[in-house]
Amino acid sequence: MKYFPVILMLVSLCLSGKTQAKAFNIDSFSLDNGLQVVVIENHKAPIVQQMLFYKTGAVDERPGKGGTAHLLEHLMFRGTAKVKGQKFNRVLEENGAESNAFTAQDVTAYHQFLDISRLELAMFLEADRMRGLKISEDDFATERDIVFQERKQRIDNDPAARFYEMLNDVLWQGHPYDKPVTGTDDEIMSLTRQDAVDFYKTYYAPNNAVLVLSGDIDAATARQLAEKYYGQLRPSDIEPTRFSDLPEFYKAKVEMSLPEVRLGRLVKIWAVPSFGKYPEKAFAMEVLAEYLAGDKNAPLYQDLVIKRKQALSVHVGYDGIARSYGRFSLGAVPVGLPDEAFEDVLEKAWSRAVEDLTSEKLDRAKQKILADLVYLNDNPISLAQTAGYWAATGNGLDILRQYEDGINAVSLEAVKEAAEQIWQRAPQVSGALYPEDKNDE
Amino acid sequence: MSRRPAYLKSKSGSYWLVSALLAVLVWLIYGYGNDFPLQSLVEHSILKERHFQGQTEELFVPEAGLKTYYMYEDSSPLVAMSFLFDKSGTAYDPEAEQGTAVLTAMTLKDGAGKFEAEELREEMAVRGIQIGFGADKDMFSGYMITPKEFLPQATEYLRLILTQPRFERIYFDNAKERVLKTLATEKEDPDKELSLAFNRRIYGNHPYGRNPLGTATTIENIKRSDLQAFVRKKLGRDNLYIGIAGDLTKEEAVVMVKDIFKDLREESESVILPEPHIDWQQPVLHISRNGGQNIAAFAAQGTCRKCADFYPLYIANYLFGGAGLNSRLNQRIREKEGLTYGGYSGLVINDLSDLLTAGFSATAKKFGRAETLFEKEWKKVGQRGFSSEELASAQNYLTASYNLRFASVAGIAEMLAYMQKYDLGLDFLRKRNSYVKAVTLEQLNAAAKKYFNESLLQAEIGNFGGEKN
Repeated sequence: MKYFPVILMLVSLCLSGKTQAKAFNIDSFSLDNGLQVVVIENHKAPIVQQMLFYKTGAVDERPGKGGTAHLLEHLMFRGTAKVKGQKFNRVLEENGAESNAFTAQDVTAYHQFLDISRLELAMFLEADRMRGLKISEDDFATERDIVFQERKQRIDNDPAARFYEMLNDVLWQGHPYDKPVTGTDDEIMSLTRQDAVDFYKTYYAPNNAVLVLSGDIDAATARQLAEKYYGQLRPSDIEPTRFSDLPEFYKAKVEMSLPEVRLGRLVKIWAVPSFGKYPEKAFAMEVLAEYLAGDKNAPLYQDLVIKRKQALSVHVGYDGIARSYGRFSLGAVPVGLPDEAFEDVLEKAWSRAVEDLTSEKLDRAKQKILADLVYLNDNPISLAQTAGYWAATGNGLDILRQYEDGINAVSLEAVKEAAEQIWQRAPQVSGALYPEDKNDE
Repeated sequence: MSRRPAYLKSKSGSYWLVSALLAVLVWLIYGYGNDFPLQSLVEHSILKERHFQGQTEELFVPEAGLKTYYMYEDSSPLVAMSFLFDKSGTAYDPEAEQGTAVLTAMTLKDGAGKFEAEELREEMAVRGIQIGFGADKDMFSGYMITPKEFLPQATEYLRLILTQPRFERIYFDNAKERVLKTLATEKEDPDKELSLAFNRRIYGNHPYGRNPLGTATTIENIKRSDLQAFVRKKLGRDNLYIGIAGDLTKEEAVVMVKDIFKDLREESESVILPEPHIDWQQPVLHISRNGGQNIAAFAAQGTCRKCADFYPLYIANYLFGGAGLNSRLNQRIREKEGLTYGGYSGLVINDLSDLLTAGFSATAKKFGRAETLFEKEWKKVGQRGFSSEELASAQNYLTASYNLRFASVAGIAEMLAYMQKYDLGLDFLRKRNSYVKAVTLEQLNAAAKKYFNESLLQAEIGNFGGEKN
């Protein structure tokens, strides 16, 4: 992220990447140069969210060059041939825009939230920096220092973040998802200006991007302006990054203790199908996650927290909007230690919950998911992020448009099968985070 | 595909041709080779500036002796309500039962009236009805947001929650456990550790200095009957502000307010808290800790929301550290030297104390330099103030971003409630930009001089290599 005040809960947004088919207004078309344009009408106020997603993120970095995508994202605010130095930030500020960006493993996105009367300005600026970026050695050196500080702040000052970094490393070993988006300390400091320039030239092109305009704009105007500002940008030949398949099944274990940690955690993450490849399985996992721990009435919470008092909290999530594998996760804060006995408790609770699933309970889980969809149409930013992420990861807007049907079509058998696939057959990591003095207790 | 310049590619050809020629002319006058004349893109945009159409209205609910601000907004089939209770926040918890307000917020919807906790939760979840509560230093607050079609049900659930809460034991015990665990783990996060310690340093023994969650001892003291008493005594109709926005008529809004709040007691029981006395000459608070970065936090006297200095200081804060990367602070410590991922400053408005706060974090190696530059920039604001260009740019940002506040109905409802809390008037939204524009350079720099002064409290956490511990 360019700077910290805006913390996008991107993953959780995508977990709840739900939308209502009937009240759902997503238009999509492509320009001749390959730029995909997504238009979401929301006429509440004369405002608009512009997001430009590049279908490129940390997974596309060359070996040993971790952090390139993220550092480039920062450099994108440092001036072009036409808009020099910090003019980009200045002019957007003077026009009342909230401007920022974020880098993820699969995508990089730039966004401005602003008055509709300023949209053309933002479109000009965003299009201009797709091809016209200038990177000076000085700016490069300063920005490299800044992303180094960002890593220190976000990861090194947060024990949970270091734990998750370790879990990712172990789960995805050999797959591009195993790297931290920020790069490691050494990687960041060894990056050169040329690395950033090469990455930019390779991946920043209209045929590798998705433009989202969400707000007080109609599809015809959006098309006219997209054509005007982005239409003449030339496409590139881009070699798509290949994702290796994980071995069919493995079960890895991580134990970590850190001095700052006061509270144990147990977290399991599984590599599972994404929406794009296996939509039926993905919808089943979405429903499974809601059923298991969607709220305090859900069976895992009732069983572990309320009835047995063995956990203080429990969380289940499915993130199926990805270029490669999706992720299914289960996390709990135990009352005692996150040891093997507790893992056993979790597994038994999971099995009981899956056994107890009836079609009536399944329907209620579906109903809860669908009842919240209406909120996605309230703030123009929410749906822009969700739709942009779906499109940029190649998961297909059609699946998103038919989200309600997809959820409704999930059968009891499909959910039970998904639960079995996750626990028994998916590559997985199980991690325990301990306070450092656990042995002294 | 045509390779003509973008601004010539339009169906309304002649208009655009003229515009383009004008743009070229401006460019030539402006100086060939200089930056692109960006502002002309706004001036010539086909998307014209429009005013948000929503109107703030005041509705009276005589049956309940209440009034509410209301805005009709039907772009989504949603209804949102925000409500605030004065003098019921964490600072007002009894000394021996600190944590009562937060514990109440955590458990208030765990069963109400005839509904057991699980049943009520299920009823709301399958309809997409969201009700929630929170507490800050001064106020206990809540919100309700519901699909329009379930407004009658949402109204009934919230009425029961506020008048017949059950605080079922199993969820009450669980909430206490979670608070105790949270208290034990707050030190995992250096930001949290620093802010709690700094808050204690600033306010000392005044209730504003408390941990809002209470302490392990006071949490043990709290009984379910304390939460029942909290709701019965502190949530009254005399200390209540309500904001409503969404797809409902005035009549529906009035009925909703009456049904939900009419059975609250007429007069809440509240204690009077003294104003905190802050010793602005206290030394820097140092906390030793290993980690990725050291963190610094600062606090100075601020100003109240209705005070004459508010808008001048609001702009001064924006220019110093509120404007993200363009702020003076970030230009100096981040953009020029790359010492930090970012600095910030902000205004904290509370009933009994107002602060101007700031901070940054940096690795131990860079921290000293960042600290020196922070002090330099702070002093520079106090001594020399800002330029008229800086004032204009802040005013441009603050007025041009005005419409962004209307992005969600929940946000609008909350804004309407706070407008009453701060007594900003029914016409506030219409007049707000004129308040920003009315600030003169003299007023801005008088505020800069008055508030960016030597009475600046400081706290830091991290690895200071022994020299500062």
